[in-house]
Amino acid sequence: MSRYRILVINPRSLVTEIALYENQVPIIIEDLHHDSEKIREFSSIVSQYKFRTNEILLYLVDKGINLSKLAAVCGRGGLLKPIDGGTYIINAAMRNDLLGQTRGEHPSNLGALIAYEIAEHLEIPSYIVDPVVVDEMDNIAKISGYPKITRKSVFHALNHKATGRRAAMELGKKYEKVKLIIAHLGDGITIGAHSNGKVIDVNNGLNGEGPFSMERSGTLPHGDLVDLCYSGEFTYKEMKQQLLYHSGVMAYLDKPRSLQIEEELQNPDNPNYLIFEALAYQVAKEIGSASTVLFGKVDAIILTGELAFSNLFVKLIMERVSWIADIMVYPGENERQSLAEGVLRVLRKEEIPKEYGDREECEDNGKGV
Amino acid sequence: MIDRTIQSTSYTLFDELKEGIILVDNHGVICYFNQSAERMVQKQYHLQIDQHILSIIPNSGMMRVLHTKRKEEQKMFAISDTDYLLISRYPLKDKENQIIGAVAVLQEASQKREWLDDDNIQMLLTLILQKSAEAYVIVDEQGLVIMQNPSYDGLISVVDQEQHESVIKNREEVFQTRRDAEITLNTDTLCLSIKSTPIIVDGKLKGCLQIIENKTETVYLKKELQQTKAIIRGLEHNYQFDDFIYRSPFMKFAIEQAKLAAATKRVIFIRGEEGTGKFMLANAIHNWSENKFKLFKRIHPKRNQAQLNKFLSTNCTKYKGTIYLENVTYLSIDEQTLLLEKLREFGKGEKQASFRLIISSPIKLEKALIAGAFLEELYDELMKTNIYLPPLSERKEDIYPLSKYFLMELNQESDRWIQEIDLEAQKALESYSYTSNALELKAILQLAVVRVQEEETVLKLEHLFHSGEKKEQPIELEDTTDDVDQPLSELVEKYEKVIIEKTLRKLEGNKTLTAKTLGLSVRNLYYKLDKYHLN
Repeated sequence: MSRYRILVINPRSLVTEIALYENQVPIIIEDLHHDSEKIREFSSIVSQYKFRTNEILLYLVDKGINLSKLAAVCGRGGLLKPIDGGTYIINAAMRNDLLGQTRGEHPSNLGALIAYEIAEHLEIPSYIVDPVVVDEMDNIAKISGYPKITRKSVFHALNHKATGRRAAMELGKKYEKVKLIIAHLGDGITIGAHSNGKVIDVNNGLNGEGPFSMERSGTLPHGDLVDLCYSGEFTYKEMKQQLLYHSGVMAYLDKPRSLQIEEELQNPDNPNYLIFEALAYQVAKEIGSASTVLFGKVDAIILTGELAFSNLFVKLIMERVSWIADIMVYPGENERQSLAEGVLRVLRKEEIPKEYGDREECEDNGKGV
Repeated sequence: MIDRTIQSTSYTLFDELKEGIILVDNHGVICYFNQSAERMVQKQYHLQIDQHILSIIPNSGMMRVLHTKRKEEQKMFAISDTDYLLISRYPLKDKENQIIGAVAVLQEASQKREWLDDDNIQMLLTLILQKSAEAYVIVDEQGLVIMQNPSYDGLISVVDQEQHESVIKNREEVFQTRRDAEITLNTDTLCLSIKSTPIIVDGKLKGCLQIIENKTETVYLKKELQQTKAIIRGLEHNYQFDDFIYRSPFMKFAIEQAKLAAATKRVIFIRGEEGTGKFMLANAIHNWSENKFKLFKRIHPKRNQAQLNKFLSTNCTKYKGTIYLENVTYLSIDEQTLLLEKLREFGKGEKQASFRLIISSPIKLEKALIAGAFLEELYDELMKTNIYLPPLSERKEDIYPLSKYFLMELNQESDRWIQEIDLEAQKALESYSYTSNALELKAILQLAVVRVQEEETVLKLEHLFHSGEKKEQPIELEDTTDDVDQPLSELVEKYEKVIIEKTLRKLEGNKTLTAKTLGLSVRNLYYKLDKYHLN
């Protein structure tokens, strides 16, 4: 079997996470920490891409890695226009959208730009895999109930898809042929209905849909929310901050982030127990709702993300949803591995890479509801 | 009324005091503070009358005093990470012994560090010196030791006479120059960094402080890290100029030439026998040049025919990085003509060229030239910037360091601890005539390491060649220039036959060992022996 070397790049605000894979096996995993002073010198995030590219290359050369042995480079997908899931070849249209920051500014926008910069000089292809903007939602799911608001597909697509494929393989089926409910239980919580390889409905965890999480509020009664917004207590920015960073479990318990969920759930008499139970309750409720999206025909329910490490938490969810389907647990989230596997499927010709097209094409797909 | 007068007078008096005064009532609300108190805490806290002490100084101890009714004297209180106050707190009681408030007296901590007198400072210094991992010694102007710490005693016990003299000499230098002196002692087993500073009091030299840092571990780890990196580069086939191991002026010249050439965009031609490091040099040039982050493409005329054709027929500007075309003599005359055109084109637009071209040949072009198998014009073009890598026979002084390096690599691979090569073995290695140079040297050592017992640390002659076979003249491979028309399979077979014969002879006809050495099954070896009529 051929051996493919894949360089994976996942940029974060002050760190560039990189990994070098030989097929699925990581040879190097490293977080390159950048000088915050140096990062601040740049006028925008995208303008850092040459600087970060150079840092990565210098690191690899210092380690003695032969760059000419690379088969492909993979970057974390950034804020692009809504697209189908899968592995995309990085092309000029994508780079233009990222350089122009047409969909917003985020460190992940650097992923594709850096990957292309490195790959181009080595005459090899560069890819992104399942960016957060993956939109495969059914039109019916986009109807919110108020015409001025359309539901959007924003979720942890990379982990959802990678875990979906892993689970499908264990079920002895193809990901494109199974119906799964995947709950990503991390900093944010997103629960998606995967039908034949597409995420046809998923809650927008960033925008207050679905269960609450450790720091974020989930769906709130909108009447009360509107009242609070106009009460004069918070400015627009403060209100947003409240919902994104000062809600959820932390707001109830008023404790720092380092809370150990497993410890808190040890004793049902613990005053915090109810809050965690409520968290599991809301997750279960969302899973139940996703099962109706799939008409109850669910091959498996999958729990993934950091919170899935807690056996007691998983048990609380299982008690309520195990009647729907079997439950599979894949704790944690390995973004770099998921990116490498996405590229490996393309290199092994198991999947055809997609082209990021221009906007009209995308809207013809009926994504602009 | 009188009370009031007394109160206001005493308050005015309080403002004259150096000490700070803060007065709180029985609930902890501030009733009074003087100017000194305000000044002492103003960096961090803003004192206000009628405010609760805890709302201003959250970690104040006044509430504790109100509660316990006990005085606290000379307590340290941190205003910030660096500033401290000495605070004494007293409860205020009325006639019925009821608590009516508390007073705090604040003093600047520096005023109170009187215990740091000369004797104590000396004790403190001695303590620091005793516990320090670095070796310290203080000598007077006569060179007599006044003070030394246990680390120094420990260090001096392991250095030899010569090193000890260097330590003394370093001090003497300070006495002569009255300036700091610094030296590094570096031997195989020890690395010391020695720094000496003059002690000058009132312009007079009173002695010298010497600090010795043992850097042996650091140096050793650094060296090991570098070696590991070099091994990784070797495994990755990704070289730097530092990876060349040599002592000979010929090699030094070749490397210098390569560095110079790497700075230009010229086409570089590397000549040298098999195993002299042509690929390594080409790769090092690539990694040294501004193209180091770009593709290094290796094209072998026979193995990568399609790539070669593509390269010869397409426009130069399509390529980036470095193209390394090896075994240029394998090109047909037609291909040579195309290459010549390319080189001329390259020469014209040298500065604009998007990539670097490196060409190599393992055999002397002159032979091919005479045989009419090589274009004279191409020869002239190539020789413009050429680097010659001499064979081991022309640089015997490199054999020992090379062998040591290979042994270090082999030690890691085969879990041995061979540290030295004895004189006889060195001589044998130097007088051996190598056909494929460093490659063959490595192969010989590879075989030898298998024969070395696990506990042995010296490679001896008996490990190298079996008795009676040392300095054996290897079978010369026929010059392949004449074979250019033959198919590759035939050439490979020819080579295979020679290798098997050679190994078999070296191992005194031991077929099992030969098969093992060559990575063949015994059965396969027998088959090949039969095929090449080697029985």
